[in-house]
Amino acid sequence: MDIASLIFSPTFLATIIRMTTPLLYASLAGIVVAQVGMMNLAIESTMLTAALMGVLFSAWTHSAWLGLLIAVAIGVLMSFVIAYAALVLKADMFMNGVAFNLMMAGGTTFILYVVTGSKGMSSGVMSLTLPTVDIPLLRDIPVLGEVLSGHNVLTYIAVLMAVLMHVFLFKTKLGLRLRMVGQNDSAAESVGINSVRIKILAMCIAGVMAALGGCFMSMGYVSWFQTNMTAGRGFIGMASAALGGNHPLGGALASLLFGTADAVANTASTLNIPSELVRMLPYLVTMIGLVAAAKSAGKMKRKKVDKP
Amino acid sequence: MKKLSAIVLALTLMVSLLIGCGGSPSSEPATSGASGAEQTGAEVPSVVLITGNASDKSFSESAANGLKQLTEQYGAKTKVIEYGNDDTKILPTLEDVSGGEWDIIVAIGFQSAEPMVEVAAKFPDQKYILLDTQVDHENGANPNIYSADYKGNEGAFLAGALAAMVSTSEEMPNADPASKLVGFVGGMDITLINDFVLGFIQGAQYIDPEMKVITSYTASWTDAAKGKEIAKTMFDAGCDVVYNGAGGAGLGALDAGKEAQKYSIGTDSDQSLLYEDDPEKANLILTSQLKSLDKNIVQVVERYMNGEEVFGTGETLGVAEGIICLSNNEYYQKNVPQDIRDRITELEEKILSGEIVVDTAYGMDEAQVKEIINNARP
Repeated sequence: MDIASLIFSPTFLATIIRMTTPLLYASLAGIVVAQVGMMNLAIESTMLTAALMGVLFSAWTHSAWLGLLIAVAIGVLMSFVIAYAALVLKADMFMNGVAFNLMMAGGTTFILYVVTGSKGMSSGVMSLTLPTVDIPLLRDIPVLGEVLSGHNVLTYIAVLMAVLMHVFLFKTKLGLRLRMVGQNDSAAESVGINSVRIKILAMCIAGVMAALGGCFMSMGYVSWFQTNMTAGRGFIGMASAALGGNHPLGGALASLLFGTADAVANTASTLNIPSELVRMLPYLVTMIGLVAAAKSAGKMKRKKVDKP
Repeated sequence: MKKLSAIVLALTLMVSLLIGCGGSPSSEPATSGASGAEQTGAEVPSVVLITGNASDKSFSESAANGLKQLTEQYGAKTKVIEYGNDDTKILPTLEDVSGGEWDIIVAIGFQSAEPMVEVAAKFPDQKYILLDTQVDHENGANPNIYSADYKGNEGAFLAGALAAMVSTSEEMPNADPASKLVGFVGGMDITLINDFVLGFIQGAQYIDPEMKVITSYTASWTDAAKGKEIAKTMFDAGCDVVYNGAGGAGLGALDAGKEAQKYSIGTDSDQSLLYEDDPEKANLILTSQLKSLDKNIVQVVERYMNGEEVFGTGETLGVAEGIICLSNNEYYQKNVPQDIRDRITELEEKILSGEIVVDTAYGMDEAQVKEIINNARP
């Protein structure tokens, strides 16, 4: 068994897609907020909270979709509270995000304990999972079918969301206004755009994305909630948003890169390679990626300055 | 309801205060169990357990069970005090309960060792039991503490042997007898976990020297998705059985087992019983390696009642003492063929008699541990 035969196999490519999905949602949540000129630090806690809520409400309502819907609503509510506190009550956005991350790390465990009596995982809850989708025709194509078909429905929704986000930001009036607020909010205000409202809207959209990512963790990837199960994916998503130049398609590619690094790390860890080296691979790729992105952004700025 | 229980509690407190003032030594609850213990000629001690979360479906719960057994068998007065997730509360909690109210105070885990040593020095007449980690007992150090740790490697040996037998068995419907490959999903690349890995590899290769073991670490105790991906990779590579020792992340490995329709073995808690409402998954979990802290507590208290000098001593317990074992639950009995189960019992006896000595990562050179792990890879 060598690394080449493991990596160039359809199951490995399918692994990449699975590992990319939560990162893609997180990066979309980062992108839409970055487009209005803010930074959303609370993606991680929004994902974690939604992961728990999806599990609990799917068990209570006996419907995975209803559970997902309620989890998304709670994700939106969380993001709204952060945005309202930051924009209307003038609390510091970063501090808010950090506070929410810390609060929900313990808060989800607390809620889990109150509801199930367990502090580790939701094994006692009869929660439901979202279905996987076999795409007709595609699934019959030899290699491609194995790679692309049979994923969780939220994986396909993630791709759809990336496309929709692109259309929304660059092809709609509201998207234009949103970007305008991000470029210069006083200029936007001067032409009658309510910048606070637009920023709150962006945060709420981010809430939807992060919540979908969280639900994928607990209702798709695995079928239960576990304390700190998102394990930093919200932050990796933020990094891929930055690496992708805060552009939905760029973010998708960056997420794919990080997902690949994660998948390679997993596969390599079963081989005869020092585990410390393997463990730092995804983070190493993140760092190299961010430096590369900063470099190229710097070059573009310099070009603009050089022109006149 | 609350009011009623408050009144009952207050009354109990008053009565116990009155009895306490009387200074009568026979103030233990006069149940039939207590009188039974009196026949052995010793006084039944009152025991309190300090733990983070007594319903963790793992080893804290096992310790709490030990106290329950003491009450059932001897009528001992017992209580469990939970301090939550904050380890800094161990010290003040220990101080609160020390100093006379309880005869024996039990705490578990390496995080309790330092606070206990500190508090025990302040209360020399108080007796303490520390489980899952040992403190210094040389030259009469810590004379009022009994401490014990466990040979997880012996349990892992049995798990490895079971995995190898299942992997090569013709009778197991979901195993391919031709592939001699099993996997281990560990939490972190640390000695505690590698001790399990060495035992697992030795056990597997004891059954069949050609057996290969893939070892991998999740580097997290909570990332279930990662545990699942790693186990999936192992099943894809041809493993028939994957053993996990990665806490919550290991639960992901059980899920991967269900998806791949292959077998798993759990650790520390009876993991098939976690999934009684998901029989498909529970049936694929062959068994779990258990640490019976309850047995340990009952045994120590019994020895104390018999007048033995248990405090001020420490020991390392394993299969021989019946503290480390594979769970003999209904799924094990139902899904593992009789001849394999007999063989496991036989191996247990061999460890017990000292015929088999299981390797340990403790005290072994790091490079040597890595070499064993790498040589076992396919």
